[in-house]
Amino acid sequence: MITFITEAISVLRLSCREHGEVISRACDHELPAGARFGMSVHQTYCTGCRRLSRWYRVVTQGARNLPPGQVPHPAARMPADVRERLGRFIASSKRNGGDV
Amino acid sequence: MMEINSSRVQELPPDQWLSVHGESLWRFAMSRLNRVDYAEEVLQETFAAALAGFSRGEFDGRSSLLSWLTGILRHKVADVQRRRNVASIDENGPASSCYDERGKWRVMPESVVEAKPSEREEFARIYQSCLSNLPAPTAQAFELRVIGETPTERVCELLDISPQNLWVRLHRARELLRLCLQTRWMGEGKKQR
Repeated sequence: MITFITEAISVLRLSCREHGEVISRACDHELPAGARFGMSVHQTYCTGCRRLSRWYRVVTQGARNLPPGQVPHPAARMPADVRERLGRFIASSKRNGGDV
Repeated sequence: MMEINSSRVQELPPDQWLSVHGESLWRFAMSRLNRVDYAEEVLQETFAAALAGFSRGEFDGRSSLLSWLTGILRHKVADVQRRRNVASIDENGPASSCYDERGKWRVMPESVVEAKPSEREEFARIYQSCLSNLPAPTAQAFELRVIGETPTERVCELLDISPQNLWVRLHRARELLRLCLQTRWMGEGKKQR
């Protein structure tokens, strides 16, 4: 019980900015019960965090609803068409002596 | 990661800059701008400035070529952020400009408009596009933990990071996706409805 109260109070002391990470952890079911309670209490009076919580649920659900086999590899690799255009740009700029 | 010694750096001709350093520069640009079109614009401006500077002998080889290019890119990113009115994505978090100095909301999130059944395909298309624009470390964590539902301990082992670091990355991923969807789904999606 003491742990529960301590966790709740520690979450209630957080700013809205810090609260974002707590909401994110809750989406992954990684939040202890007391912290979850503190988060719920904060959201009863904070519209911004309540909306953020709703957004994070949509974002999390969206990831889990992606059609099988269509999950993109979300690595930040340069798309092939961008690479091609940049390659052409460098080649043409070089021909102009780098004066672009 | 490819390491290049200083003598090789000096010899690296401009037509190899893209193949050797393109991905590093791309990740840097995407991590700050989070949009493919802006990142392409900024890389083109960076290469233009670098080529001009290189032909004037401004690269003296004292720093690595990648550091020199990144320095130029950093300025170009700031230019694009000003020109395009892009919120700065800094080390304090992607939505740091949404909060005041005490951490209270300055710009609250918009209310979510969830996709109707007839709009789900469109939502998924925009979602995938937003997902593909996440910076690599954030994307990896999100892909493994949220999409793949891999347990936290396993993700931490695979990425060699602490649970705290993983939670920060997942929060960052959700925040970037929220900002992207808020702009694109609530923007484009609403216009089309």
